[in-house]
Amino acid sequence: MELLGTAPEDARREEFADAVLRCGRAMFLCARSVLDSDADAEDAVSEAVLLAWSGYGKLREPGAVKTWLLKITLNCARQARRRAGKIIYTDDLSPYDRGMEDRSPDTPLWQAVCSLPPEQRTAVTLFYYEDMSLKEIARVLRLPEGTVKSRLNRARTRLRELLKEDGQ
Amino acid sequence: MNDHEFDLRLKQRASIEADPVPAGLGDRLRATVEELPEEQRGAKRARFSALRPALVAAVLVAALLVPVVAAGAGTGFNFLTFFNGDRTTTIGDPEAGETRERSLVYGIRGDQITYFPVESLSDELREAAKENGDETAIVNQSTWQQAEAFLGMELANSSVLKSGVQTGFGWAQSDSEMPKPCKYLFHLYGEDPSSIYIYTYYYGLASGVRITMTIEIMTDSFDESIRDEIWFMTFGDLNDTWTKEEYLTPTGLETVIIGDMGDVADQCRYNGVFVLNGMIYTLQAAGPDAEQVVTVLKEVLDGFQ
Repeated sequence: MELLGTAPEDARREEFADAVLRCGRAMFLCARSVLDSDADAEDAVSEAVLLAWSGYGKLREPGAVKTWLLKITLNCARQARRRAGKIIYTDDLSPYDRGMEDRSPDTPLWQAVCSLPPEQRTAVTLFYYEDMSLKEIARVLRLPEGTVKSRLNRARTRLRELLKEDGQ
Repeated sequence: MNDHEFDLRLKQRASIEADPVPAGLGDRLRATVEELPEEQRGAKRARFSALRPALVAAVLVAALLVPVVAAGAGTGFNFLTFFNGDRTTTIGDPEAGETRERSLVYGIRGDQITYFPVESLSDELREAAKENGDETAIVNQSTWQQAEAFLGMELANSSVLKSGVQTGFGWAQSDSEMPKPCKYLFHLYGEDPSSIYIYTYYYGLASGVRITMTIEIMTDSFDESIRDEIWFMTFGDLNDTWTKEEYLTPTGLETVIIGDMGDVADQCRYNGVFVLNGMIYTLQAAGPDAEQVVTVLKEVLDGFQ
């Protein structure tokens, strides 16, 4: 197997750019499944791209680049979510009145996905929007395939309710 | 409709429904990859001017800028590597009202971070993480001793904080949540937690300055394929008045103090950051008077042995 690290930089840069452009949509959706806003998700993707480039020379399996990019994106998104956490002084506590970012009325499926529990959201997003296999999703999430499957099963039940698509 | 049919229908629906991906993402990604910095290998050298400021995140700048300070040999303390934290400018499309500013402040060398064996964590913590899967588990503890027992490791603390007045705080994962009252909050990521964030107490010190301490702990469960040689931390959305001071405590602990003269309720915020025993500590001090906030923060930092 060719080591990416041995390719001339221009070729590597082009190869990396192609991979990012090819996977950019999946990276965004992956980040968006973790974060509450498009802007935060896009920031996480930008971070992931730059971080990935800094470590691209270490990637030994070109065929795994999508999984690798999604893992980095997921990590950046989780970091961003942690940073977005709020510590409120007890004596300052007051009800929050800000809700989730407004969503377009023409994306009922996406709205339903976003309403799923966090542990189901990423798997569902990659499965339905990116048509990724259980095996691929398991690699990204670093979970056994059975766990991914059970999460999708639970999510499917919920989505049937939310979308009123019970097939009856 | 069976599951397979349902899946097919949803995949079809996902493909025809309005795309949740924002318009222009592809163009922005293209701009990012077209202006990637020169690839760095071995010695990490800065090419900051080559980066497109609008799209540069602190994470990579931390990885690329030339270290300004690298010391601490023989002190027993891990050292921080500070960077010339020039600001990035804007993220997003100003014409679309998406302007967000972000500042680049500093980075911490990844090789200063310890990836602790998951086995060294307490059974209780590992069980909590297992229950929650790969998502964030949030666990609240009531006392410092309970927090250490839950972690399974000792944590450093400042003598000043120990003698201060502890209060709780409210925690919200995002703006969409109601804050929950907490005292020692653990965030665990992953079934075998790859990272643990401990948000400890804040104190309304006698001076009126409030202190919040965050301890970040990495484990060997952190995906090796995405570990970078450089770890990173960022403070985003700082205004023009941010400051940076490298501060050496009397015991030789190297810290950096990042100031943000923010406009939130007229509070100045200063973050004292250091690495101790392979863990990243961030102490945020807040109060109305900048000079007093820095003085108190330094007293607290000096209290770490």
